[in-house]
Formats: sequence, C-alpha cells, structure tokens
Amino acid sequence: MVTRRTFLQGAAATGAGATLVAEPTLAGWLEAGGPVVAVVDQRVGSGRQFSEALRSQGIAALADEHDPAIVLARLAEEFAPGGYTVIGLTQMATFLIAERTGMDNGLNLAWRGDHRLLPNGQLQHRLRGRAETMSALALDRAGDSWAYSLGQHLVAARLPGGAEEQSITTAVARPRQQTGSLVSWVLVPRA
Amino acid sequence: MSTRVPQGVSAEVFEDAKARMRAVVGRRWVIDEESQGLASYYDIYSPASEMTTAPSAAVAPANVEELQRVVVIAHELGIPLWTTSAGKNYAYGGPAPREAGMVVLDLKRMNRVLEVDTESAYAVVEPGVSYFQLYEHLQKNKIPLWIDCAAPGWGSVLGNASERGVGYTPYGDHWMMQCGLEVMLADGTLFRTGMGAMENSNTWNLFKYGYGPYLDGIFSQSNFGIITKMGIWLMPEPPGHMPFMITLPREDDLHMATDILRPLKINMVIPNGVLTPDLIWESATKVPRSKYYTGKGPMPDSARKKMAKDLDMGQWNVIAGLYGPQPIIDANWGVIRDAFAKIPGAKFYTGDDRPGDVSWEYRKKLMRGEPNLTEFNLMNWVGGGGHVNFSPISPTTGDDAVKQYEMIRSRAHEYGFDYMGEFAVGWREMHHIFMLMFNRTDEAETKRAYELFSLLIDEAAAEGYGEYRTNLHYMDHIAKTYGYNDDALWKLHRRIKRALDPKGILSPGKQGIWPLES
Repeated sequence: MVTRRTFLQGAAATGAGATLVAEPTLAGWLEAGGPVVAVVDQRVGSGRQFSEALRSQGIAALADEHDPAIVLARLAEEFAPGGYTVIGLTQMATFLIAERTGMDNGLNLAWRGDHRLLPNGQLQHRLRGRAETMSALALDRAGDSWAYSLGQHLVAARLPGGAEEQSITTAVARPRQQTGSLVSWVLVPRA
Repeated sequence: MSTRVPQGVSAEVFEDAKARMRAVVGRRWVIDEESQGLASYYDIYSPASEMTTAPSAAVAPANVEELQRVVVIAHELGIPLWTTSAGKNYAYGGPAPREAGMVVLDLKRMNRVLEVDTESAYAVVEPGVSYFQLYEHLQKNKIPLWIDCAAPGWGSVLGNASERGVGYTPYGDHWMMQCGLEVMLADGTLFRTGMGAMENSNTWNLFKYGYGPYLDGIFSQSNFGIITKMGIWLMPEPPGHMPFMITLPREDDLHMATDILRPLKINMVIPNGVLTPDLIWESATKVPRSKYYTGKGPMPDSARKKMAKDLDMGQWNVIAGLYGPQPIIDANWGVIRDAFAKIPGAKFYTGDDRPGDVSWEYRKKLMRGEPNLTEFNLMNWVGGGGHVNFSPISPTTGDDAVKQYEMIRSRAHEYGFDYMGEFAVGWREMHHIFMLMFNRTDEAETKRAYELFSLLIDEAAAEGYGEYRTNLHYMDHIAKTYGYNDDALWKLHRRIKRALDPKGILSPGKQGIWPLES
C-alpha cells in the first residue's frame, strides 16, 4: 500500500534539471487516495482520445476552454494547496499557466511532453523519460492514436526524474486528430 | 538547495542572511530549492536561457513590518533584492531578476485590499493584490465600481501600474489613475507621498500632488524604493457601454485608420485606449498557425487571406468602446461610423455581434474591466512558449504607423517570424506592441529571436522611436537609446540611486539603473 507520505517522499527523492523534479507514478498517488484531475483540450480529436483513455482509468477530465483561468480557478477552489495531482493535454498557453499556477499552489512539474506538428506535416513527440517508460508509451507505433496510448500508459509510468530527453517523430503524414501543437503534462504535490 | 549566491556576496554571508530572514518570515517563506518552488521565479519565456537570470533564493514577507526587517538585513549584508509581487510580467522577463544569484523579494503575501471608497471611487491595495482579487472583492460586496485590468488578469494591480502598464477602459492609463503611494527605501525608511504625508490626511487617495515636489513618478519603473501601498482610482459603473470593432480589409488601411483615430482620441470622442491589432494577433487566440500554414518562415499572403476570410477578420481591426448615457453613445457612434465609412470595405460590429468569436469576447470583457487570461492563447500560435514584446512609442499618425509596421514586419520576415502586432492609441501617442513569438524548444530559432529584438531596438532608435518598457535582457540596451546630452538622464538616475540606495541593494540594473560605479 502506498501511503501519501511514501508517495510524496518518492516525489522528492530525485532532483532534476530545469523544472522537472519528481519520480512518482499517478497510479501510486491514486492508490494513496490522492485526487487526480485532468485538464484536457477536448476541442481537438487527440484531446478527446486522451480523455477517453483517462476516463477508462477512473480519472475525470475538465474541458480546457478558451480562457484557462476558468478551469484553473476551479481547481484552486476545489482543492487545498498541494493536495491534488493534475494531468493535462492542452495547448501551450494552458500548460504554461497551469505550471505557474501549480507552482504557486504547492505543485511541481513531473512530466512534460511536447507534441509538435513539423513544417513537413509530421508529428514530433519530444519527451523526457526513462527508456522503459518511452517503450511503454509506444508513441512511435501509435500513429494517429498516440494520445490514447499516452493517456493509457502515462498513469502507470514512472515519471521522469533526471532522465534524458528523447525525441520521437511519427510517420503520420498529417495527423487527422490535431491541428496545432499540444503539450502533455503532470503536476504533482510538492513533498 | 540552489548553489547560486548573489554576486559579490560570500556563501557564508549569504547563509547568514537567509537564516536571519527565515527568523523574520518563517522557514517556508525563504525558498532556495528548485523543488520547493524556486523554479517558479525562472524566466521561461525570454529568448535566453533561464539560468542567466535564475535567482539564488526568494523571500516572501507577509506585511510591512516583516518587509522592513528583511530589507534592513539585506541592507546590512549587501544582499541584492529583486522586487516582484502577484504578477508574472511575462514577455518582459517574468519575476526573474536581472542577474543570476540575486534574491527575489516576493510581495505576493502582502495581498490585502485595504480600502474601497464607493463614494469617491478608489481602492487602496497592497502589492500582492491581483486584478482577479480586486474584481472579486467588488463583485462580492456589490460595489458598483469597475477595475481596469491588464490582459493577464492574474497580474498585480500595483505592479502593473508601477510598470506603467495599460488597460482597456477609459481608466486604462494605470499610472495616471494611481493616487498616493507608501514607499520603503533601502534602509527601511517608510514614507507616504502626496497628501499621505500628513499624519491625519483625509485626501491621500483623492489628490495626487500634495505639497512640494511630486515624487511618485520616480518610483515607477524604478529601483529607488519598494512600493508597499497604492491608491488606485476606480471607474463608476457607467449607465451604458458599447464596445465596437471595425475590420479593415487591406494592410494599407492602417494609414487612414490611424489618421482618423487621432482627432477622435484627442477630442475624447473615444474615451478608452483604441487598439488596432493586425490579422494574426486577432486570429491567434482562436486558431493555431498550423491550421493554415505548416511551412517554415512567415505565413504567406495566400494563407493570410484564407484565414481572414474564414474568421471574418480584417488585416487590421480597430477595437474600442463607448461609455455613458445612451444618447451620448449614439451620438459618438455616429461620428465614428461616418469617419471610418470613408475606408472602403470597413465593416462595423458592436456588442452582441460576432457570437462565438473568442477574441471579441475577451476584448469586450477587458473593456468593461472583467479580468481573464484568454490573451495567453496567443502563445498557441507557434506553440513553443517563447515570447517577448517589442514596444516602441510613436506619434499617432498614419505615416508613423505605416513606417513602424513596415520596418518591423520586414525585419521579422527576414528573420523567419510572423509579424504579430497591435497599435494602442493613448492620449496623444501610440504604443506599438510587436509580439515576437518563437519556439523556445528550438535553439536556433530562439537565438534568431534574440538577435532580431536587438536589431529592432537600434533601428527604431535611429528613427526616433523609443521603447516604453522592456524585457530584462534588453534594459541596458534600451537605456542607452535615451542618451540625450551625453546620457544626462541616466546619469541623474544613478545620482538619485546613489542618494537613496547607496549600497545598491534594491533591484540592481532595473531599467538599466545600476548602483554606484558598476
């Protein structure tokens, strides 16, 4: 049984470059009884896939609309500072605001993946993580369903700690599910 | 723990300073570990590594008394303090200091709305009060006053005013609407400006000037003291309000539109700051660039035209509002319509026109003082997170608008960036805001953005255009462009700095004002 204390100690155990600081799993946090909330841009197909994958694991997603302040204010009202974990797949603006708001509310960034459309129309995933995590995510084989795969596996994955950044470029000529670049992210409570 | 220390301070002295500060504010509020929140003070948007301005620690006092004790410790030990508060100040460097190793003095915990006078329409706030907070305070207490907010609603009311930021109602010149300061100097001395200098003043926040020299201005965009309280005038809820937008179909229309706007503003037919964003700025909150163009370099005309057609936007879009009794609004709207009808193809929208248009919705909110964060969606345009604002001031003339637009656009295109800009017409001048968006995860692109910005400073200065505010990395560069009579103004700033803060502990390098002989 993972306790909240064990989870938080795990999150604090590894320092890292930049602002990635944790190495827990969301599954562990869930097991410890900690609330997990998702914020997902459901206006795009990839976001809807991601939401579906999370929902199958019991994590409800709030829709990220045009004003990120609305959803973030709701989180701040609903939970005590440092008392929740947030997982997101959003556009850049919401990620940046969530990260900063999270830091003001006792959370640290534990995962960031950049999912960018390249000028040639291909999709590039830039991730920082352990080799086994990358392998489990299987984004290189997921093609246009990468967001579902990410949502399915990210919950159980050990978050990256100080691992090296990896870049995966998929061969999808022009993703049908996505018109802009997206960021996946996880904010976890500070120890 | 961060291994950084302030320049010129030994590790031993720094540890002593932090220990003494912890005794004042509590352990939790002296932050020197990345994992405990120090990373939130990094500047993660500028076209330079965040490590070049990463602080060694942050200290967050809860009140004036704690602040005074922290400042006295810093003064005694020579610890440089970089002041910030609720706001993030992104595009201008965020909460980060000028140099790596400085200590951030975070006033976010000093966040009380101290007073709202409903009759005389003003509030007195501490530095940590955000626009959201003041707005909610007025709503909750059913006070019929409007705030004027910057586009990022999480900003500090006091911080934005002291940086001379602007808003969108007729009270949009925030420093003009400020009335009465409480300021702390580097040795801990606390004083009040204007009428507040009287022990029993009842007009501190009603009359700006008091008696004797008027000092408030030297504490804006400055490092001469720390503002601890500020009076801000609030706008009485008007009996009527009509936001409007006029879309203009051609790039060339900027010239005529600007010349039309000048007399309308000077004669106060339009009472708030008029914005003229270009097609990309006004579209970028709605769609990512890649929806219309995924190639390299600036977006081609064919893609621009398709986007303008799809979104029903102009190449330029004039946005403003009218306020007051309906007959006055109707009369002024008639004058404005007649003036802009001279531009072929101009289309007029008001109030509830354009349902579902995200950018129009947030513009309307801003023009009635409702804070939000929608404008941050501009960062979705490129999606790489980097952005920096180049903000020169110019006369409100068609010639100047076109000259600036062509100058900046051509350089932006040469460096491979889109032009994303807007003109904001104030009382007599225009702020031209060029939002330089870049992918910060692309090293080469980030480097190009840095170089472009530097070039623009020099080219604008050569034409007589100076910036009103800037990012941390360009403060010295821009200060040099204000060099009349052998840098006389900056020499004066440094004399004042030396007199008020001889050890140079307050925000060293702010706006290019460095202490002593450094």
